[in-house]
Amino acid sequence: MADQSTASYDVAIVGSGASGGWACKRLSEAGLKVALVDAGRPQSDANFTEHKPAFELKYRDQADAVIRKTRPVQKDCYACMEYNYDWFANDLDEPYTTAADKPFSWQGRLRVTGGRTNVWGRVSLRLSDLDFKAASFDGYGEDWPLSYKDVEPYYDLVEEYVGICGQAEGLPHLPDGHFQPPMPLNCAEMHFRNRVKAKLGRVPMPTRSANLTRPLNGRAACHYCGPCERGCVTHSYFNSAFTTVADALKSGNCTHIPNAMAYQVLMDADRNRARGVLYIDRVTRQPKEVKARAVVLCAQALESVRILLNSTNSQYPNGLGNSSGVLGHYLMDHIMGGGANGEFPELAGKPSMNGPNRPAGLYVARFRNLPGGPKSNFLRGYGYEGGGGTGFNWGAPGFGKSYKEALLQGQSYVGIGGFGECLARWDNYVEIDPEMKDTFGIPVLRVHMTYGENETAMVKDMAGAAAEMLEAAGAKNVHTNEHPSTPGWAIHEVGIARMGNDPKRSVLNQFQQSHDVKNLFVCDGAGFTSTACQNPTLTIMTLCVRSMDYLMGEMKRGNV
Amino acid sequence: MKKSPLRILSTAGARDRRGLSRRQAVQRLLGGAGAGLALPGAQSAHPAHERLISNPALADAGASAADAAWQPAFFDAHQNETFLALAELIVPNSAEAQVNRFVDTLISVDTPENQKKLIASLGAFDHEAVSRYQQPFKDLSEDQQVAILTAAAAAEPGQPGQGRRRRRRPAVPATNGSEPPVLTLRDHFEDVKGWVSGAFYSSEFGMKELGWTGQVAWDSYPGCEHPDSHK
Repeated sequence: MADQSTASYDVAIVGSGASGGWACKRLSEAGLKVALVDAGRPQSDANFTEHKPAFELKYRDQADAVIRKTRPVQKDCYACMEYNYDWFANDLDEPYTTAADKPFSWQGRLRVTGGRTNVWGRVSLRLSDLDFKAASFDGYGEDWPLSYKDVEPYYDLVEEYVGICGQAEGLPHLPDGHFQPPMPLNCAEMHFRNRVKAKLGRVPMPTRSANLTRPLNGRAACHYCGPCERGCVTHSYFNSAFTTVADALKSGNCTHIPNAMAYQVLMDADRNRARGVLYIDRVTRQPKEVKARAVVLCAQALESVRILLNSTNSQYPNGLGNSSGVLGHYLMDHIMGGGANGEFPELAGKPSMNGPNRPAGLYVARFRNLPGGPKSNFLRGYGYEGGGGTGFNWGAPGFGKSYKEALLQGQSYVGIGGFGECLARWDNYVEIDPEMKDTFGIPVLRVHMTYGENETAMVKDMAGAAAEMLEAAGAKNVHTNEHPSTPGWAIHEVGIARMGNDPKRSVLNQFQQSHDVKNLFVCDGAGFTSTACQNPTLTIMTLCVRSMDYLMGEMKRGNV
Repeated sequence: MKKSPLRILSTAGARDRRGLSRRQAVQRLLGGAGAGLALPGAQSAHPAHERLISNPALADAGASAADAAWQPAFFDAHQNETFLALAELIVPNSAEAQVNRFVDTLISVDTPENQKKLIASLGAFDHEAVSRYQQPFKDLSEDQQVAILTAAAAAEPGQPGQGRRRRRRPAVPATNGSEPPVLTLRDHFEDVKGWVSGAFYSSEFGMKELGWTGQVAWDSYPGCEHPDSHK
């Protein structure tokens, strides 16, 4: 019999990351009693190692094989390193399965408070109606059940709290935000931007990044040490742990339950209402219940849907809230693997072992399939992340004194890699594995995902267009990369509990409320109706804040 | 997602970092350089500096590499001396930076494939030494060793992507059959050089030789300052 505490909360929130942190903050600060069911252990500044030089580590972060012993999948993530790999889930303890011919790399599974926001890439971009109404524009898929004007005030609110550095560009399909001053471009990047704008009409810009360039709410501006993925004692990047979650805890209305692996949403079947969350204590393996008037799942798309699929009962034999049959389908990630880099020998500065190391670079806005523009041989579009600078000539030939001298020759380069929209397909889906359980006894996910022709065509175009831009900028030695990524590599999984107006074709309404179960919300990326090409986290946070306002209104009105 | 130059290598280049070469590992380190103990040169009254804490506990890591009774965990005595002889010629001061000790630590936990590759590279240099001068590499005169290295550095590489331009090397070799690529002395040279240079330039000694100061905080990032802004 599960341990049933007598406490009962207004809302149980599962997940302490980008969306979970906001849900806790907004509800707690409004006076509601919130339980934060958090798979992570508590995070603190003492765990941050951004200033520790690599030579103070046993392997100087060069022994990937050691980390792969317990994190064979998590180590695929660029941010999983000797400094911090204990923040990531142990893949042996917490496996998942895939079909034999459909590899999926489920990276970015964090087990510290703050979740992925501890190690995320911080690129923060708004979606526009070209994305929310993409289906109306080109006929593929479904429109979102909301439009830009519905979410614009929430984008403002979230950006002003999070602190996003960037600059306005006036692009309707990549709306400008409320920015702190941008982190400046260096000479190679400025050269690239100016030439590309003039010759091709495309817009490379300073990255819109969740890094502060001005102090905000007691957090200091960035001091350019570089590795945000190792933490930040000055709180200069956005991490839920020391922002939204901290605010929630400060309110006195939020009870943090760490080391809690959520397993099921518990139902009061007679009244078709959720009554709380069943979780397994990660340390003792004891099952425990958290009772609440409403449940908000913010565990990241794959984990939230796993919970719902594990929460079957006689009324919902195919997963909780799945009367439509759509739950688990339409899994999307961003296609990557197309890009290019080139050298600018005349712009080479002097390479340096010292900083400042800027945690933001370049972003090139989408330029394909825009309204009024030409159609490509694929639908939707892609943007690029990248940057440039001057590095040592590590590839210098020879040996001895002449090698040491040669590597001092600065190599000035710009490189960009694309992130492309993935089309929603029914046959990209997740289900519960029929047999396998993780170390907590919780049935694991089986993921079925492949990229299709649209994504393959997009990667080819990404590579060619990147080379075109570098050549327009006069780069030498332009090398392209055209190697479509394995699904999961962008770590932007969305779509498997999609939002829509029709309960027969969607799982959630525009407020991320379950069509079937009125006191159940899913506020991470699971609800996205399409991927767009923009990094999803800013939109995830924005939708969550809007949905929590709706939840609070519904609770006041007695509808939940 | 990322912005610093090292991230470029991830997004525009190799998407699978399992193939991270030693050189790429060093480049990755450039983004993370920073001392824990002191803030030399951080002169301003930037509020960030008040919150920057000293590193309370250094990792124990360096200790075993530094003590005089050190024994290799992986190399045998001959391999260790051969590696050291090669290292000192390829990147001078490698002995002082204890490059052989760090590489021994790393290779001892690496994959059997990489272990075999490095051993084969050391063996290839001994083969060349015996063929030319009837002595193993470590027992040759410096002139003889330099002659071999000079020939190795100039030889044709045997597999695509080796040599100067390593950027486009695939993480998984093209599978047109089950034959492994034939390696030349040039490939072996590049393999050893990668280990040596990666270890040297990630050591405190090597980083300082290149000018690393340990500064961890700056007030700003100097963007392009040219009035005509590269139009």
